[in-house]
Amino acid sequence: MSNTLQTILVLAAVIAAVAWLVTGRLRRRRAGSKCDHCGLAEAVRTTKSSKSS
Amino acid sequence: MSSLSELIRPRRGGLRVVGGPDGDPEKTRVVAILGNPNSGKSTLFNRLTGMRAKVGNYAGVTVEKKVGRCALPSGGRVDVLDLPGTYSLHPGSPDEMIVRDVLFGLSPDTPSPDLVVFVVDSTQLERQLFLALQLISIGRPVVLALNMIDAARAEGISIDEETLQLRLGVPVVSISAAKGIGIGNLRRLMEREVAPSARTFRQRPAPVQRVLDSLSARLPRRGLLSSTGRTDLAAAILLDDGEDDAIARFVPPDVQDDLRVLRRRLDQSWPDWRVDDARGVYEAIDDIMEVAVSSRGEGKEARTRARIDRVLTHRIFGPVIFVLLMGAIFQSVFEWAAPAMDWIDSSVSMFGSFVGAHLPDGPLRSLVVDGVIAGVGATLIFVPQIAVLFFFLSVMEGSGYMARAAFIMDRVMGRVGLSGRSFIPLLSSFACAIPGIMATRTIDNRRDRITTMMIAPFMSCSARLPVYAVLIGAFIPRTRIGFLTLPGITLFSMYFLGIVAAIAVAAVLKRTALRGGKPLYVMELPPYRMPAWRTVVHTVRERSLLFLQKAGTVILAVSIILWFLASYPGAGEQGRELEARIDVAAQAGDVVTADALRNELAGLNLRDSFAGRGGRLLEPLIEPLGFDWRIGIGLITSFAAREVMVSTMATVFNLGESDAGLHTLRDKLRLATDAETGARAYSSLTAVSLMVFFVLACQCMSTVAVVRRETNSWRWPLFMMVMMNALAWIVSFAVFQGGRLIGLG
Repeated sequence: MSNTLQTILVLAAVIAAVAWLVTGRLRRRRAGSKCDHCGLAEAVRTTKSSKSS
Repeated sequence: MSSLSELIRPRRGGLRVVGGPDGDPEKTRVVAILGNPNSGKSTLFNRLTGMRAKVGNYAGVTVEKKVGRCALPSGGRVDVLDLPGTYSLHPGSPDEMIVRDVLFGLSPDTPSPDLVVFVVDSTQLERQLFLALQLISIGRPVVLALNMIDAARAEGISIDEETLQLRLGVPVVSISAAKGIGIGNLRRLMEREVAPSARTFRQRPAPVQRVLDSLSARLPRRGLLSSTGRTDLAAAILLDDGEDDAIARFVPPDVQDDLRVLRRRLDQSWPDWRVDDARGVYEAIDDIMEVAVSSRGEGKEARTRARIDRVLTHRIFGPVIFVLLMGAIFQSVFEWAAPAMDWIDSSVSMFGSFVGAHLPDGPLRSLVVDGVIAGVGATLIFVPQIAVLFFFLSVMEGSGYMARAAFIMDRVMGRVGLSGRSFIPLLSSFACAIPGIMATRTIDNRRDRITTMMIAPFMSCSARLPVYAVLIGAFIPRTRIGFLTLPGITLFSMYFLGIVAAIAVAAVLKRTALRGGKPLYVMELPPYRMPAWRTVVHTVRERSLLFLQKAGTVILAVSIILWFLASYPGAGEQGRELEARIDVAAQAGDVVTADALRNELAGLNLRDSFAGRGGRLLEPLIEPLGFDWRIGIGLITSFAAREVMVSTMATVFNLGESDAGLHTLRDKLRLATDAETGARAYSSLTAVSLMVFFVLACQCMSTVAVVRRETNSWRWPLFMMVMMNALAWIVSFAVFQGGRLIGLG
């Protein structure tokens, strides 16, 4: 695998990680007051988001 | 007297109610679960809906309403609403207000329930009937669920369901939510139309009744409240202290003006009007208990419980047992988890070496080995410790010991102007500060509530555990002291320091910005129970999976970004010179010089990388605490999540050395050297200073966001950030510089 290809793959991974983090934060912010840090979702779920399907 | 068949009738038209609360034919029926705190509502909710809401053997676990869907025997479904526990319909705290607002139709986002399943702990029937009678009086359709019926029978309490049913005018069903007894009968009742009871259980004095009648006539019509229900709503409004938003929104302004006059008039003409309501209900309860219950449960079990409580809540033995128990738990966190941790550690190292050997040299290999495997692998090691810690916490919650711990702490909290009520949110914060801050809703006094929110993040959450563990593993010797070891004692000390800091800050706040009297705290000590092992296993599994999930998402993403920031732009001209010298040494066959130069180059690359520059920018601020720029990088990234500190250190030390993969992270930290002096970069004192910093610093942005939401202002979250970070700096400075002064550094 050439160094150039490796560099392209690495840059793609970094861009994907940044995009995932940024959009993830926005997604959670839009979803409401869910805890986006510890994942203790049921403790802080709003009524709407906790409805089971 | 009505029979059961008169109280209920099968519903027509399946599960779609025609003419529900809002008259919407497509509306799904809503069944609310209500009862006193710790009567088993959430356990029943989980049983009916198959959901996993948090349950515990102490009051105040649920502070928000939750909705789930429950399948019924006919194949249909209803929405089940789990409400926080409350003692009466005249609330004192925000979580109790939720209940009142839902029942009286004052909650804008929640429909009034079509049926209320009122859950009582059968061993405490007499006391818990108070709220049941209030509820029945307001004219809501109610089913009374006698929960923990198995425990009541074991205590020799015999409840005559039929008589209770006739006296109350509502269907009664015996259940055990934890064991699944009687749940089928309850589900069958839930799909039938239950007529509201026509019973009233007390007569109000004429002047009070007249005031309530006139007030209820002036209130807007809301929901399907009966006339007695409207009178009760009027009573709730009259008894409200005037600081409640839902009431303020509901009551027309002209009526609000009259309320003060009405209260004053009642105070003059009938001074006891506020307590008369309760007195009448208690007299009715006495009559019902007389005919429906053959024993009131003062049996052998109650005496045994009292005897155990005398020891566990003793003024001296209580705190001693508490400290010993916590010490043993933290010791076990290290001892029990060690074999699994060692196995994961060596597996991650082997995996890194394997992948490194099969990928061509270049940036991709460095990203995978030094960034992803080192970063994520370094945090995976701590899953066993998280599992052991939550196993013990869950057992303590389920057994009823946590409530005793809150009782013991009430004395300590009382000295600083808080009550044991604040201790429950603090206990929740050992898992994570966010549910802890939500749990402050059980505190009725606003100043006490804010004080508790300010101190909750001092409790060591599970995100801090990996940081403590890696530093203790690297720098604290495994010296044995009695039945404990130094690492166990150090870990316990960090948790204890969080509690001490919380109490100290509360003491200052309660004497300055949030001054107020010591609140009265009446606490219900729940019976001792064998923990529900299903709940324990679920808690351990859930916490471990959440940690793994985080390692695979946030920590993975941050590791990739950090690897990039720590690898580029490189060392520039100086780096190229070193590369040339490495080539010369390698061609001359001087392996030792070539390796030393490679190490120097790796260090230089890291130092001049984006992350290295950030760390060095921070260095003057953190140097007095014993931290260098490499720790500085970790402190910056730990604002994404505290555990990221560990993955950051793993990446930084993998990239900063050319012989990466030879040691574990603990070894690398221990053997790290100062590039200029060549001396060891960190000591035990540095580790303690860093741990102290992590105990006290506010690094969690989600916590800040929740405090902002709960206080509805930026004032308190900003204060919390500044106060905690300043305190962290000052105490770490004192620890490091003080330690050096006495020759520990």
